[in-house]
Amino acid sequence: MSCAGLNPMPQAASFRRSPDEVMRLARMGCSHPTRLSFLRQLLRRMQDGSWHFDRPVWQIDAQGVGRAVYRAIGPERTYSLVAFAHDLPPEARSDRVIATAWDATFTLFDGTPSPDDLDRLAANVPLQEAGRVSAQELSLSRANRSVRLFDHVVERLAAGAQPDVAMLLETSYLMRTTAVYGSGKFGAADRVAIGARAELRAPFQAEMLSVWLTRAFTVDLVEHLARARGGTRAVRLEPALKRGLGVGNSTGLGMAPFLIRHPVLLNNWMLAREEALARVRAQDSVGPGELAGFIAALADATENAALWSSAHELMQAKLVQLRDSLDQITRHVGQGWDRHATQPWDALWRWGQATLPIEGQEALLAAMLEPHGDLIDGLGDCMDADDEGYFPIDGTMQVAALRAILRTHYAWALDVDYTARAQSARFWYISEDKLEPRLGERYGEPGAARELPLDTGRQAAALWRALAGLPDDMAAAHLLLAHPEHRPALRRAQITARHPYAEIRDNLIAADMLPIDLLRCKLALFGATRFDPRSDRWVRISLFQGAPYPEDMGAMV
Amino acid sequence: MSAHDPTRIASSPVQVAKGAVVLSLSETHALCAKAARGVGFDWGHAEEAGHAAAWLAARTLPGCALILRRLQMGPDALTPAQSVQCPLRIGVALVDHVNLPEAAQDYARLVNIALPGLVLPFVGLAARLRGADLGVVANGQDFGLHADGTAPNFAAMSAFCDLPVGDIRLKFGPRQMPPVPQKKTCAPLRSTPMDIWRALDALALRVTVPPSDHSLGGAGGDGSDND
Repeated sequence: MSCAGLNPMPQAASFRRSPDEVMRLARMGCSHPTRLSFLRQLLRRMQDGSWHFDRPVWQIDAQGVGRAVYRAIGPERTYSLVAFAHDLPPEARSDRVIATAWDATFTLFDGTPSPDDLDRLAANVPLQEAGRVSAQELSLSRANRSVRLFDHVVERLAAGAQPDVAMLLETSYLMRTTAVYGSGKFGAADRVAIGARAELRAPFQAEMLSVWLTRAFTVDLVEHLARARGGTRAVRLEPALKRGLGVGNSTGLGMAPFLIRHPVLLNNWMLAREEALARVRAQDSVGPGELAGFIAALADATENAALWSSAHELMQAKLVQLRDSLDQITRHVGQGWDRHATQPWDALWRWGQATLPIEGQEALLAAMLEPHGDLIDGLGDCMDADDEGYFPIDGTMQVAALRAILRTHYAWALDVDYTARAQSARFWYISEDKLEPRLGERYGEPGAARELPLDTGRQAAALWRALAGLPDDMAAAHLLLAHPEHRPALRRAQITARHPYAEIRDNLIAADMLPIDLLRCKLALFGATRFDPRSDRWVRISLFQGAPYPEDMGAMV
Repeated sequence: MSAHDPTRIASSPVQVAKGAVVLSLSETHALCAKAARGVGFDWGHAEEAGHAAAWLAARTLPGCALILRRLQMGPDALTPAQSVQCPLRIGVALVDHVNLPEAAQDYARLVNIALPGLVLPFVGLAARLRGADLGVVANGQDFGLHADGTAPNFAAMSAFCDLPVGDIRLKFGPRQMPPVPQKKTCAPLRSTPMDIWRALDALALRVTVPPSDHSLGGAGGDGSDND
């Protein structure tokens, strides 16, 4: 972790959960957003930095087609969301990455775009993957309407009425993004070019800013269409209803391998969260402000769980557990929790570990972090990573040290029989049609010969076998000369030795591996709510629901 | 173009200026790694090829072009038994060995290296891992690759990238303590000719899997997206 040396609370280390507990898919698949989530970091930074916002371009016609620009003006730099609104027929509406048309397309521009920039972007952004953006753009994204709700809201507002609250609660967004690309994709600025900026140093800040401004655009668009349709009768969306709307996101497997391909980054994300929990558990007392904040967070979580629904059987079971767990926690906090114990937060946590299912434990974690901003928010500064710095292999490492690393960090992988079909049932690959990661059935479809090296457990086990019989003092460089095929596994092992939360400690090609567990972990780190799987590898979520809008953060210029 | 085509508000069709495309560093890395795997390099060396291409591109050197020329020779065309050596395998071995006792001397010679410009990223990495500035004598010129990641003599490196075969003499400076902080390089990127991009893309496609009935059936969510 990049700022481990600055750790002001060394006593928290003994409260940290082990990677063997944290880095299991069953637990990662129960992740909840916390105040360290990336969208929360963005909102705090903009609030603290007195950012202000305006909308210098709004050229949208009565059919909702045209372009708009939203600016976020920070203390040092300005970023602009450039939005293109389209008229999409229902038969063309698809959330899948293979779609070629969308209701709206977006890019986040670095600065204020000139008319020439807008023309260049108009020629490319609506094409998404088929167009090109430049190093002046930081993201590329698109969104589809939630047709039923979108049309309903326009219709009601046009008639001078507010939309049906139940419908708003059920869908909770007017549009859902179906891809948000950043970091060098399709010609956009590389991370290395922008990562040193204070406002973009935390992970995915450009992407989060893009989605947050997209949320404002979706509301502006329905109000615009309502005015176009209803004229003077039309009304604006009531602030309380508006606040309850987020931006949906529909996503599949594409984002899952990111967690495996960026082990140092994953470590820093998970370690920051675990350090935050450890710091709270290490507290000697419960302050009145923290207690009130915690109880409020529990109430918010309970309300959110009541509104959170899913058609997916696995998620439904988890939601039952979540609601039951939150009831148990609330009862325990009111009646059983000894707030005057030596380390009362730790006592509460230990009670939760002994009593609650994993789903409930992770919800408790999020609620415990919520009232402790002063204690933990600084950890957000430690959640970026220099992957580049850890790319080289230490060729001097001896075989004995490698064996020790594998025994310590890969015990979960070494004794698995990967020749058994259930343990090697899947393979990860890149699809020819969209160059997107996919998961195949090794024994049921072609393509395993082109497998990606994401079978981390099987590779670690193969390296372990290759070390058998080698002299303890043999250098890794010599091993790799003879066995270059072990290079990826050896690199991961060396990274994991220094970054214990870098590796997902489960067999990622097993028949019972659930890709949605990877997705839920990553999306919770983003700050997503209402995780709603539509299959075992496809989910919808909501971002920024309940968050302020630009006009709530500072005066519109 | 249908009446509903969302691209109709575009002011002009997508053009690639002068038959070239500006690839981001991450695109260069991914393209070259996949292409290297596509011609048969193991994943470890394929990743190194991607890394090398991006290192060169970040310094406005022709990373994609050099990688393509190497890949067009095939992965096993340049084996240790042959007189001309593979720049990727030699470069990887240089980095892996740079801090071993057997490499403790201050000098190293890399002889008969094909496309020797491709060794430069590894020489730069060796300087960083050794924590020492590296003096390079190649193609009749001296230039330095520094422990902080900088490589100031662009002209000499650029000329070296043009050589089909070359020798390099390395001289390590004194180890610098504490470890030298790395300086990031993010100069404006140069464009890559479309024919080079297309050739690499064709090789990269070899690692992809065409759609099958099974893959199409498992993608997306259950139910309609028109809700």
